[in-house]
Amino acid sequence: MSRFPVFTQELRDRRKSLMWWSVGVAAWIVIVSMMYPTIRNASGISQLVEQYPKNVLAIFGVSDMDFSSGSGYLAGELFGFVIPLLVLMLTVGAGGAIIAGAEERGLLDLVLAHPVRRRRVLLESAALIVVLALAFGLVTLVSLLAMDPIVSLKLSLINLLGTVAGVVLLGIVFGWLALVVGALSGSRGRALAVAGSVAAVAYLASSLAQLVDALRPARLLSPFWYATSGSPLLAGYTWWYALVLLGMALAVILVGVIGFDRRALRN
Amino acid sequence: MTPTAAVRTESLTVAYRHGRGINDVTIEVPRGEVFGFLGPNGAGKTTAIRTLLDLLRPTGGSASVLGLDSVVDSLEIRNRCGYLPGEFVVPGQLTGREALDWLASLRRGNASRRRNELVDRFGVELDRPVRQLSKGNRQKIGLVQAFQHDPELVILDEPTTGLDPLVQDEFHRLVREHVDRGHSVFLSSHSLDEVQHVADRVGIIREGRIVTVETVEALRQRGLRRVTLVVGDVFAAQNRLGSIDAVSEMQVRGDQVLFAVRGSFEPVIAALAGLEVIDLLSRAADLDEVFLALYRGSEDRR
Repeated sequence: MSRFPVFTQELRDRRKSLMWWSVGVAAWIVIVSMMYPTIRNASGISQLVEQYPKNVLAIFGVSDMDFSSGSGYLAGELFGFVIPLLVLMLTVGAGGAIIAGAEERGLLDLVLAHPVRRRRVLLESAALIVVLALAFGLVTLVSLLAMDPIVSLKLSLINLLGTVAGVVLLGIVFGWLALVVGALSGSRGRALAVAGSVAAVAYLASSLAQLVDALRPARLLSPFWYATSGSPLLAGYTWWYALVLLGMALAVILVGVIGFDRRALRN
Repeated sequence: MTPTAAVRTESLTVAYRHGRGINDVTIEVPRGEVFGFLGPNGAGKTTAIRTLLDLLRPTGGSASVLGLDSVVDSLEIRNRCGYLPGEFVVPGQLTGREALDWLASLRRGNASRRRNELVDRFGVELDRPVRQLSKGNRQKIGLVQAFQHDPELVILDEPTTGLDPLVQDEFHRLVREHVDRGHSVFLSSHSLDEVQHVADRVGIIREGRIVTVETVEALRQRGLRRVTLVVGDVFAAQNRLGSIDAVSEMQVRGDQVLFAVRGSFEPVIAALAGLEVIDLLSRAADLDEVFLALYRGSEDRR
């Protein structure tokens, strides 16, 4: 009996797509980094950006736009919006597909007709999402470390690690959310819709909270607040936020473990 | 200790939000028997089967499999059963061999001891992605995975869908051998002919309720067959057949006589002796007609 049959099989299924994801993400990071010297030297751009209304910038995840340093540039261009979006596409997509997708294809029936606990299917799937998020983080980290000397980004390693950790955890939280909604509803569409819209609301709550006082308490519920807010690449990551994200992720999985066990599978 | 039944349900009820539930189903399948679960599509066969494997939960009554409770002891049940779902799919681009390995890896112990023999018998294509195979060839892999660990009970949902007649025959032999070795088989079908071929007893389910459970022999006695007779002297044939109790619904169309026969063919064949019979075509009535015959039967007895 293989030790983690569901995990192993899913990973084998996704090897190829994960490789292409990595190539795409690395390419994006390389291109954005290559543009940095040009933008740093074009003095007009910082002033141009400063003329944008602050809330427009906030929506794109940029609170203090500062293109004079590599960290400031990447915080705005990569980590404010694009990288979180990409990691969510990867993990939420997988989260919806692994259990709900298998159920829709009739595959879950076959697996669960074998002596495999539902809990185990859920936890192995959750582990796979962790691996996907870590792979994404690793590609991001390695690409930036490789580009750093070439375009002299002058990144702080500890800040970069913290930033990537936040992104990885963000991916895990929403990937697990999609996984659990899929496991509870049996619908991949619903898994993607719920995780996607919760992510959108959470993103806005975190970025607009900096501008709209009425929203300030809401930011404390948003995973984005604990993962990406405050430009951790510049200012350093608040490490205990990682525990909050971990707690959120575990709460989601716990709901899944309890609910999935009790449900009738769809035919 | 008396040997426990392979399957036993007591007033099993599954209210199911997508319809196709079952209601108050009580059946008992002793070990060493092939039990055929017969009913039209949507009658609740799949619901009952999936409840035995804890994919669905009873909302009333209970089910036990190999003497174990279907909910509490499900893991043990699933380790000792084989299952072929109505639609057999495997993950990704797995080949037949990889799929069988993977499914065996979900079980304890040597879960593929009968594989080679089964693969040879059915002529299974092992080295191509299962996804690319025809329905029939995919179904063969489904059969191999259901039997490869030599389980005490095999549960099969419409197992012969897509199989060509030769493979169906091989499948029927496999099922007989399996029960001859003391194991049990529980299969569903919407074809009376198929169930008659392979099952010892048949449970007929309609709209979620068991209509009757009887031996194949008894069912055959009651079974209705539709006959088309081509004969030289139509009127003589009509006269002779008309006096037989088992013959009904007779009509004449050109040189053909159409009628239904319930039970034995013996009197029909006797009556036709000496007439110039050109062709005789008989087919099993469809399930709906069998149901009608069953209901008629129960009214007759009243």
